[in-house]
Amino acid sequence: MNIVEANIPDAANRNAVALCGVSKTFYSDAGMAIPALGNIKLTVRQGEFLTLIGPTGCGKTTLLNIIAGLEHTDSGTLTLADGLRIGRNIACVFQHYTLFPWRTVARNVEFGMQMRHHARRERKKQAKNLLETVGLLDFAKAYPYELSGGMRQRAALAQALALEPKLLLMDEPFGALDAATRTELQQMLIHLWQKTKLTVIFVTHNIDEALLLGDRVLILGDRPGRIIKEFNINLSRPREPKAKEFTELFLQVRQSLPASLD
Amino acid sequence: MAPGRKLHSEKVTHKKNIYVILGWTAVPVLLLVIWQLAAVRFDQPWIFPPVSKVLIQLAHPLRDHFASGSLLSNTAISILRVLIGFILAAGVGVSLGLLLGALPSLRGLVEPLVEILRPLCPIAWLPFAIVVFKLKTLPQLFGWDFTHTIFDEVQLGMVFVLFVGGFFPIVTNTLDGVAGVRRNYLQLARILGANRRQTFIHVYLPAAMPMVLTGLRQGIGLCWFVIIAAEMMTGTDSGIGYLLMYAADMSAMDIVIAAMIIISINGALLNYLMRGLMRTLVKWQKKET
Repeated sequence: MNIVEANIPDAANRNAVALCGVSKTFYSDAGMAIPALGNIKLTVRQGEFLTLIGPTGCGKTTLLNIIAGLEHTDSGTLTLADGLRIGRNIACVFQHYTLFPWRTVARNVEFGMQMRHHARRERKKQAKNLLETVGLLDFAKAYPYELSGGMRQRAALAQALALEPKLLLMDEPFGALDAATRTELQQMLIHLWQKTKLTVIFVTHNIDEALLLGDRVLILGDRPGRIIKEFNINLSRPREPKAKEFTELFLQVRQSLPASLD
Repeated sequence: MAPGRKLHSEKVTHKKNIYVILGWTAVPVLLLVIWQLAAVRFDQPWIFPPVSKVLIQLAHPLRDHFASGSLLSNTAISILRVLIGFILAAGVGVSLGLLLGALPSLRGLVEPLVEILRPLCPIAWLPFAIVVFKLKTLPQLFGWDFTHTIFDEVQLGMVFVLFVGGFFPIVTNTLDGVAGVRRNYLQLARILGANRRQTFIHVYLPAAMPMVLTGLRQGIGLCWFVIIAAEMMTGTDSGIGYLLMYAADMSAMDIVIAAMIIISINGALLNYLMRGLMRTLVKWQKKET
């Protein structure tokens, strides 16, 4: 596997992430080959909000893990913009296990800064600011088990933002939430993204969510995971899911999805 | 954004119903009354003493018996032995458990040995330990002949047997705790920039803490079992187990039963203390699934 760090400052390097011909196959205990990703070609511009949508088991999570550097590719190249590296400025928010249960919310948010040996006082101040941003200041001293699902994801977002990331990877972060909470958090996320202009890659299996958030929506097919269609979403923000243009796009996306996603 | 619509209530509603209250009061009192009446009627106190005689013994814990010390002094000796043995077992057991959990290759080398020695009853080690350590005491180990304190009663053989008793539950639970840390948390730590050392301190250690404490709790309970049995063996001349055995030989059943009650209450107390420690150290664990 090659990870190319692009150092040359020219126009081509406006990409935050570029994957070229990336494939990945897993092997079951019985030795059976399970193709997860097949020949993925994908570029993500800096500051772009990209959403990925596809059926369960189409390799969405594997794709994110490869970009994050948590997994290796079998073939193909992954090119990250200058300085992007796991443990430094790539943040992730997952659906589950997003917080350490033995730490309070504030200490969870501080985790990344603590690993970097930031001064305690500075950590506390920064954590407080972030918790205020995500609307969780009152629960700074609560443990994760005391929080609702939506509050946990707010805390996870604050924890991720504490890294001051350039790239934010999100793997169905709102998948387990009820509709109202989900909408609330989507709005918060968009607001944060517009403010910070970070690059976001967001995996979901909810078409509404993909269209509501993304500048661009990629449809993935399964076995092996591959990009089957791409939509540029030129709707102005804030987007209104009941608007005609939105529902038309919804239908187009729906029709292009593999049958298994329903 | 309204933060906190549903903060889970953390108060566990502890229903102290009438049966529980009766179980702590009326039932024991009733049993004591029956015991008293039966013993008085039976009228052979060297076999079956009445409650009153046992209570008199418990009310005079400083009275010397058979020139072997009192109930209190012998209990203190047993507790001291247990604490020393347990602290040693805890120190070595937790460290080794953490080490084995973190280094799979070392675990492969050492675990078979642990699994073979673990089922061996700690008391079975006693004759061997007495031969090896003779009757050497803790102060003698440090080169002081006699300190004329309670420490003169802490024989190395006893400490060794207690160590064996406490060590295995502590090491195996710690090991399981470290090895069972969810991969998700390790991944999260990596994303958040933790290096190997930081991951160990900030993820493995706290994640394993509940299991470590479970091991310590089991360990101290087992140590208390072991010391009583060990003190009943030949070659000992102090401790609550010794006094119990001696009193039985002297047909002083009231002292035997008083000693039994003390042993039982002490064991319950140790367990209660460990549980309190667990609750304060891992309060985050309450509802975590």
